This record gives sequence, structure tokens and C-alpha cells, in this order.
Amino acid sequence: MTERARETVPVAAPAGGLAPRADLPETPGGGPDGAARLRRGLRALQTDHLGAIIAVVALIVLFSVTVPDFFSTRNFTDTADTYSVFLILTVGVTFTMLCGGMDLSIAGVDPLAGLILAELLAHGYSMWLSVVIVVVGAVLFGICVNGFLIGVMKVNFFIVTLGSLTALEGLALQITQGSTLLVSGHRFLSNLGNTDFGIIPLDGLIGLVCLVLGILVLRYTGFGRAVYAVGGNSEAARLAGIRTSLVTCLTYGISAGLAAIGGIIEVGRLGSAGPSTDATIGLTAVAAVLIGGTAFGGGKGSMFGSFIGVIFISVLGSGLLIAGISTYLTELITGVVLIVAVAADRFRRARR
Amino acid sequence: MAVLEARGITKSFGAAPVLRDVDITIEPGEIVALAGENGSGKSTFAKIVSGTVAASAGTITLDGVLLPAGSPQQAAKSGVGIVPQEISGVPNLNVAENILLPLNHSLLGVRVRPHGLAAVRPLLDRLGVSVDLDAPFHSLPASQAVLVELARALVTNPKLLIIDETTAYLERTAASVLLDVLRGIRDEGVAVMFISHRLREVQELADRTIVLRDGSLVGELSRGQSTPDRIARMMVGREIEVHKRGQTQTSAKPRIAVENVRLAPAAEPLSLQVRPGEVVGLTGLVNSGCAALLDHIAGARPLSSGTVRVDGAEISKPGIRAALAAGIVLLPGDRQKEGLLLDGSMTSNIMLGARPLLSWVGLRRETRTARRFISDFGIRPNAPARPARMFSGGNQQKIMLARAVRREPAVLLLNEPTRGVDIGARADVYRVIADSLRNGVSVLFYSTDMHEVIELSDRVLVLYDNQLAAELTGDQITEDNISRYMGGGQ
Repeated sequence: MTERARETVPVAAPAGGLAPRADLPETPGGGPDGAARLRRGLRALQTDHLGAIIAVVALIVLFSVTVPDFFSTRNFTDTADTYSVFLILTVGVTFTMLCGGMDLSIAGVDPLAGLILAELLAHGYSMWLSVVIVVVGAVLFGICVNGFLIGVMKVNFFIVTLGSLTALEGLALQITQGSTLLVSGHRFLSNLGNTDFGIIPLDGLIGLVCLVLGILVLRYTGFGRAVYAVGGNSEAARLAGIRTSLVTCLTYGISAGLAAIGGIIEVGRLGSAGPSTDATIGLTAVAAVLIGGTAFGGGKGSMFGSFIGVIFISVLGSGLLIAGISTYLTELITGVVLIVAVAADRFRRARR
Repeated sequence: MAVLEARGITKSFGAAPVLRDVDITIEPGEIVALAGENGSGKSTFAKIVSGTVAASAGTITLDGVLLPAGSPQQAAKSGVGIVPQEISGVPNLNVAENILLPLNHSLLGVRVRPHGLAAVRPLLDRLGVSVDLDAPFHSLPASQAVLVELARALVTNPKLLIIDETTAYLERTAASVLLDVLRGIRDEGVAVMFISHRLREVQELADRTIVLRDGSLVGELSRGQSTPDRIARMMVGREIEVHKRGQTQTSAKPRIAVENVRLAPAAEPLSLQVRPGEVVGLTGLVNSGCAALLDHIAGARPLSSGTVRVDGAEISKPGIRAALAAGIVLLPGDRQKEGLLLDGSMTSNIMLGARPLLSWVGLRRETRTARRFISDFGIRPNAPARPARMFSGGNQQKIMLARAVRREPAVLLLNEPTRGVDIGARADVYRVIADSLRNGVSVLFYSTDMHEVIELSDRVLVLYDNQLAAELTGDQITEDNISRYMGGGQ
């Protein structure tokens, strides 16, 4: 019944003059001038991410009107600080999801990376060496455990990453016996969470750098194109000579490595490393990716979309926080809004 | 009153229309043949009548009762029996269970014990097939499996029997037995809709012949008018430019030599060679091993034995990448499953696999390269950023060909290069093949379309049951010869 499914393929342009990117008039001669390219880029942005952008703007307006102090540089800086790690994790998850998988284990890698960093520092390793060991170790874990099982052994990604999430959480608890390790005396680390450049905090800047690198890798490298190809149709990619297993492995390496960077930043911000952070952070990152328009199954979507998803979730979180809504109610509201946001986006796309 | 009354049947898959406003009626005791090229809509029409595909518009009335669209159960209950083009029996049930399947509705996976076993043997005797009733369906050769499927269609005493390309699986004598059976069924007052590529059978059997072209009904011939020539002219509508080649270059050394490749554990090993600029056609029934052979040569499936040499150099490493490096490029047979990134742009589909993982991709350069192929291959619309999903089947096929040619192959392996492709795009595909040949590329292609095989090939290899049944050259390349060897004849 694939044929019948094809019937629902959007053909007509939606109302309101928002033609799908594909239907844009072709500029003759192949070299579009700057203005045309800008227009084209804007339109592409509108069609791909219109729903999410409208939702973000609406949220910002809503909170700005109803919550005093929301629309302020102070809050901007705080929010960017709080959600920088979340952005970094989401960049990693975007790779795995575009490639047709998903990585829930980041919520386990993130605290464990911080713990191992703390242990290494406690044993007298230099700060930089410790950071390198932790990040490289996480990348190898992502490639050799998650990546190998999913990309080579073809075990279902959900099972694998849920299993490794649980195992890593257990490992973290075993190492610490449930207690928290203090980390102090490392200038760079303590600067991580406590330095601002104007209104942008250092960790937010690191998040942005990760995001930009993610966008560049996905759009402009052979690997990035291969991620889309494997997610879109892995058999076609294989027959075209792409090393699909390797590509899949690498995406899990990237997501684990970024999760480790996130864990390191958290250690710097808190001055300590504990066995557990929020275990749902992996799922929330998945939600951000979905809000950003990347489909389950992969092959379709973008890193920029994920960024919009992160903004949406962080605006929602900080707005509710400043408004003084209780954390219980915040969770309830966040859950409902996530479902509505993803559902609305899918509905809009299905109609197109 | 007519048994079948189809009014205004229209169907499109995506943007591509497959049937346009087709009206067909069949009276009781009448055999009506549907003729038309591949992709003309015959099988889709059969599927709409039998309920497996829902029409976009139009109505199907059976014996005066309107059939709900897209309900195979309701169609079967109302008296439509079909032998579909693809063999569709349940592999792990035995012959008797398969035949009685329509009578035994199992619920929740609980198999109800077949009743009506007594009727099975006489039915099979009548079809001239001697087969063990307890044999599992998957153990049957294709020629027997289709007859079991015919028995399954007949066991419900249908008012309308649809036969879709069933004789393609049969050798000549078995086919003529089948034709006699169909005449007998007709004389009992059953309406028969007969679909076949073998125009001589159509001439022999049909009381009326209806010709479809590109989804439209283009004409109707009564018995006596329906000579193969006349049907073929109506089917094609215009002359297609396909120069019959048949000039075999004996001088040149083989570009590709495949030696002692075994397609199945028990099969005889198979060898073949293709010279530069030569086209070799592979043909055979479904599962005869043609598609598998192409996959093996391309490295998409591992070789269990044998060697592949390109210009004398053996490909020592297994796998697709080694074959690609040697210049062997495969055009996969299933566009949707093995070929396209449906959500990817045309550019990314044409450029798929062009760049190593560690490389910088210039998007504008990619687009420029893609544009060259788009205009060379006449891909419509000329929209490099449009997702592959939104192109018609013919243009999707051209996108895949562009990808294959972009690799500058030494050997092109084409699996059903014109499956589901309309007539105009088909001519484009042939043109691309001809251009490649002129550049000294060797082409090995598999097609189930016999006319295509005859028209394009310098040599034809016929496979039967995973073994080489015959190699035909020059005047030996005839429809008769091919169908005889295809069906396992000598």
C-alpha cells in the first residue's frame, strides 16, 4: 500500500502564498543574486519551520505581556545559561535522529562524564587532559557500544540506548555510592558557568558553537549528506556505496561526545558532580528535535529546526519559572504543550 | 445484463495518472482481453476490480450490485476471482489449504480446518496439473504455483474471473491447456477478463480485445479483427525509436567476465561476458535468478562462488564499494525501496554517494552538476530542490539513471530499467542506454518486458530456476524462443 500512501503527497501550495521551497521559481543562469537568495532563504525558513517559529514568537509575546521581568536581558542571560547544556545535547540527538535512530543514553552519559572528570581531577590529572579523556572516552563509548550494536548488529536503537542509559545511571551510582563529589580550584571550569560576554554567557556561547558546527557538518560535508541518506533510505545509501554502518556509528559517537561536553559544563557551573541529573533530559531533547520538524525515521529535517525546538522549550521553561508556577504544574504544562506542539506541526505538514 | 460494469475508472498515484476515465463492460460467457504496454494501466484496472486498489474516481458494478472501493473481501464475496500478476499464495500452507483459503476464514490467527477437500482434486485435474495436495506452496515451481492460484480463484465459483499475465509463467503446452480451461469456464457463463503480453494468445482466445494506452482506453477489437499486428499498433500508438541492434562485436575483449557464479546452492554455476558497447538482455520468470545475478555482480549480495573480472582484473574484495571502484554500477529494480531518498532533493539523489565522508560539499557545485544531468536527461520539472517523492515514476527513473551515469561506469547493470515508466520516459531511458553504449560502456539488463528484451539486446540470456537456460543471438532472439526457455522448455 505504499502507492496509496503516495497519494497524500503534498502537491498544491498552501494558501497565503507560502509555496514549498521546491516550487520556487528557478533563477535562470544558475547564479541567483543576493536579494533573490535572501528571499528564497526566508521562504524556505517559513515553510520548513513556520509553525515552530510562530509558536516561539507567540510564547515570547505571551510571557512578555503576562510576566513582568520576563522580557529582560537578565532573563535572557539566565535562560541561555540554563539551557546551554540542553542545546548541546539536542545537537547530538539531531544527528542520531536524522540518521534514523535516537539516543536516550545521553541522559546517562552527561552526569557520568562529569563524575569521571571529578574523579580524574581528584587523582591529580591536569584539567585539560581530564577533559580530553572524558570527551574521547564518551565518543568511543558512543561508537563502540551504541553505534556498534545499532549500526553493525542492527539491534533496535530504542532498546540499545534505553539499556545503556540504565546501565550508565547504575554505574554512576556505583562510583559515587549516591554521594556528590566537589570540584574546585580549576579556573577554567568555574569560569564555564560564570562568565558572561555582554549578555551571552560562556556556556551559551559554547552551545552556539556546537550548533553552528552541527549545521555546517550536516549541510556541507560528505558525512552530513550521508547522515540524511542513511536516515532517508539506508538500502539506497548502501547500494550507492555509502558505508551506512560507519555513518550510524559516528552519529552515536557525536551524540555521546556532545553529552560529555554538556556534563563537563555542568560540573563547572555547579562546582560539583553528582550521580544523576534529570533522566528525562534525553526525551526532552528528542521532543525539541521533533518540534523542529525532524521526522521519526530520519532523512528529513534540519539542525536549525532543532535549534528552534530548543528555544521553544527554554522559553516555555523560563517563562513558567519566572511566573512562579509550581514545578509540579510546570511539568504538567510542559508535557501538554510538547504534545500539542508536535501534533500541530505534523497536522500542518500532513495538510501541505 | 453485464457481469462487470466499470464506469469512469480513474486512478492516479501521486501526480501520475495511471487510468483515465475507463469504461469497460463484460457480458456473461464472454472473454475480454485487456492489452497494452507495461504501465498502460491493465494491472491497475484488474486490481481496482478485485478491490486491492481503490479507484480515485468511478464505479464498479458486479451483476448490478455496486462494489465498495478498495475492499477485496467484498469483491470476492460478490463473485470476483483473480489470479494476480505476482504469485501470492501463502508459502507455508499446503496446496489444498491454499486452494481452499477463500472458503475458510480464519479468525484471530486460528486456522479453521479446511472443508471442501473433495472438490480440490477434480478442480486440479481439470486444470491439467498433477501436484501433491500436501506439498507446501513454497515448494512448487512457478508454473504449478500459478495453476494452484487459478484453482483458488475458481473454488468460489466466481461470476467474473480475472487472469493477469498467468500464462507468462507457463510453457507453451501448459499455456494452451489453460486457454482450453478458460474457454470451458466461459461456456459455463462466467465472464473472463484476460490480461496477457502474448498477443497470439489474445488473438486465439478473446471474444473482444480492449486496448489501453497510457491509462486511456484507445480502442476495441472484435474477434477476427484482433491480429497481433493490429493490437500492437494500437498499444504503442506511435512508432518508438528503438533501433534493433544485433551487431555483435566479436573482436573486442570482454569488458566484464563473470565466471562460475552459483545463484542457488544446488544450481549449475553460470558464466557470462559482455564486451564494450554491447547490450546483453537477461530475462526469465519472477525468481528465475536474473535480479539476484545482477545483485551478485554488483556486490550487493555476496558471491558464494565464482569470480567477477572487469577488463581482466579480478574484483578480489566483496561488497558494493569494490564493485563500484571497478566501474560496475547497478540501477536497482525497486525505485522506492532501494533507489531514492524520497524526501531528499533531486540534487541530493543524483549526487548520492558522490562524496567521501570526509569532504567538503559545495552546494552550488552540486546543483550545477545536477542541472547538467537534469537537462541532458530531460527530467521534468527542472527543479533541483524538489523532493524526489514529487516526481512521476518516469522522472524518478531518470533521476536514478542520472546517478548511475554520473559515476561514469564501465559496466551498467540495469534491473528493470523501464518498470512502471510511461512511454515517453521509456524512450528517454533507451536513449540514455544508447549514449552509454556509444561511449563503450557494457550494458547488462534484466527485464520482464519481452519486447524490450528483443528490441534492445545484442544477445539474450534466458534464466530458468537460477540457471542459464539459453543464450540467444541474432535471429534466435524471438518471442517464441524466449518464452519457451523462460518456462523451462528445451
